[in-house]
Amino acid sequence: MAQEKVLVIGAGPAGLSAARELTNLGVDVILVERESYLGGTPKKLKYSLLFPELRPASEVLDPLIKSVEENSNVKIYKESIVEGAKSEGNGFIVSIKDKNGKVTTEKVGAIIAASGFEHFDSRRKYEYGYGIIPNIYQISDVERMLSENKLVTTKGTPPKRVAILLCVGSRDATVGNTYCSRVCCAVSIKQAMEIKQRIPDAVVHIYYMDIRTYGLMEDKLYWKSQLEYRVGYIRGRISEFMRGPDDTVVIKGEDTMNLNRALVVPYDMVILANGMELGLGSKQVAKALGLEFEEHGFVKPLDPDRFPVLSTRKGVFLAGAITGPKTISDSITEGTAAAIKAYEYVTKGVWEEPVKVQVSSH
Amino acid sequence: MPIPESEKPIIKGVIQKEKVIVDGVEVDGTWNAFLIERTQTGYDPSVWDEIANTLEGVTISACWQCGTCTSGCTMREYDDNFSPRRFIDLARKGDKQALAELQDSLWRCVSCQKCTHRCPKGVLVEEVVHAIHNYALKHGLVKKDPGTIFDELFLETVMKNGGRITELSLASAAAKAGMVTFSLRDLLTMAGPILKSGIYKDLLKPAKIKNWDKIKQVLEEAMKEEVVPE
Repeated sequence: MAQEKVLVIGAGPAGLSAARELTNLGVDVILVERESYLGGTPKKLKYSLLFPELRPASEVLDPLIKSVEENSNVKIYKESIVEGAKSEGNGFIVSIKDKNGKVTTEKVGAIIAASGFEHFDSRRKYEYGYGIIPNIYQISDVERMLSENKLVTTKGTPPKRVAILLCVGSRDATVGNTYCSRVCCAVSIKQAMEIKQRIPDAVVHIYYMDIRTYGLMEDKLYWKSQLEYRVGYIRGRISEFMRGPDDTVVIKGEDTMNLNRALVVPYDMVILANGMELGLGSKQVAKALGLEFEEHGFVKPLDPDRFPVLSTRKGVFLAGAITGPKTISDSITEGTAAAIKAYEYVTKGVWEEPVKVQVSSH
Repeated sequence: MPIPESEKPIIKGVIQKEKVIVDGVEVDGTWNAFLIERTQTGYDPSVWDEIANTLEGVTISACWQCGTCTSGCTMREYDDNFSPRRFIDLARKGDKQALAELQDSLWRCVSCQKCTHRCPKGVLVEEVVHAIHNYALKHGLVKKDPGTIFDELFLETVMKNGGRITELSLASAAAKAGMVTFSLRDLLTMAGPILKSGIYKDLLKPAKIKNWDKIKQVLEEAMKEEVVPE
């Protein structure tokens, strides 16, 4: 058997995890990354602490990056994209283009697409004033502010009153996103606790429609934030933000638990919990590989229940947020799953097709 | 812009305000007769902190607003505005104005404890509601309610009557405070039994409990203290 090779697109948690597992199985990996560093979006936006354990992002990612970077069986193309993939036998001939336009071709047995997501750009919700009104940030901006320990308003002082608005760009038909982004509740509550840890006398209010700290995060985040940090929860979706005096932000909303009044409340800082979208990077990958999209705009798996890491094209596997919003730990799990599926494919030619099973109606 | 003469009959009866500010914009003319100010200039975070630092209110932080307490509440059947869930929510947000608006309901808990037993988060709801009410009383958000007035009356009577309470002493104190009124007929009906049973003697010379002077001192000292949870 000739030395098998697998192409992994994207060096985020899912791609790194897939690359590590494949090399453990004795398969060579070609890793293509758009940025000049490994680590994906968590590194790009400098994530601070990860929920629900509140441990530094680098504690989770750095060992993964190191194990891939130092592995001689992984060939890494940084600042490069995959331009196309021609089928040849059961494998592919892929062309990889670097930033100078130089194209290299590689012969691989399988492809794992793990190019991830991009955060929703809150400027698309013009009424929220992001990018126009000072002191309005997104959770993706605040992660960097927290990790660099520079959480300050335009006045240069730590904020004393903070409002966090959930579901920005998620569960919103006006921007075409009818899905829940899954992680923003947890990230926002984590950020609220981080803010309270650093500025104990700050007032932090979370405006929500539902709190989705699902599974084991319920007490670790939602309950804890109220018991230990007294983070306030106000049910209602803020409809617009105004510039208040002295660079404050004035919100307009409704407290839907207490219908006695509409709310006009001033804050020093507003954080928009912007959701997840496929993003241009993954769209390009999907186009280059000839993958299909599902109804929410993410890449469609062959069968979302039975084969979540198989794509609709034979020999192409999917991992991480390319198929929908995911946590970092889920992405690492999927990277592992995609790696074993790719291994089966390149060594034994295993490719399961979904079978229609006759089920009697009930 | 002043209201035109021709429009005045239309808004007759509507209270015209001197100045109305809606969303930070001052509105004048006809509009200020119709629009209601709706500026909530921010919640007071000290309310939550202060209540959570009392012995009764310490579990307020655990509430997640499911409404189990209110849906089974005894008092709710008689008073639509009585909602422990809502009191907790308003107190935690620090919406003092809304709490003040609920002053006729806030005090009416009958301490049946159904809420406390059913709470899925272990909030001692009955105690927390009392803590919220105490906060409102202490900070003058609400007028003194009949419940509190009676409690004070009761305590006062006990202290005055040597550690004991009697029907007659309490009833006369309540009557004095205007909580009960007796008609002449009531008094005549009661006079016979009162004289016959001899309970009128309690009024003339209260039967003190043993060592009342010492116990009184202890009680007075205890009442001065404000208990704070560790």
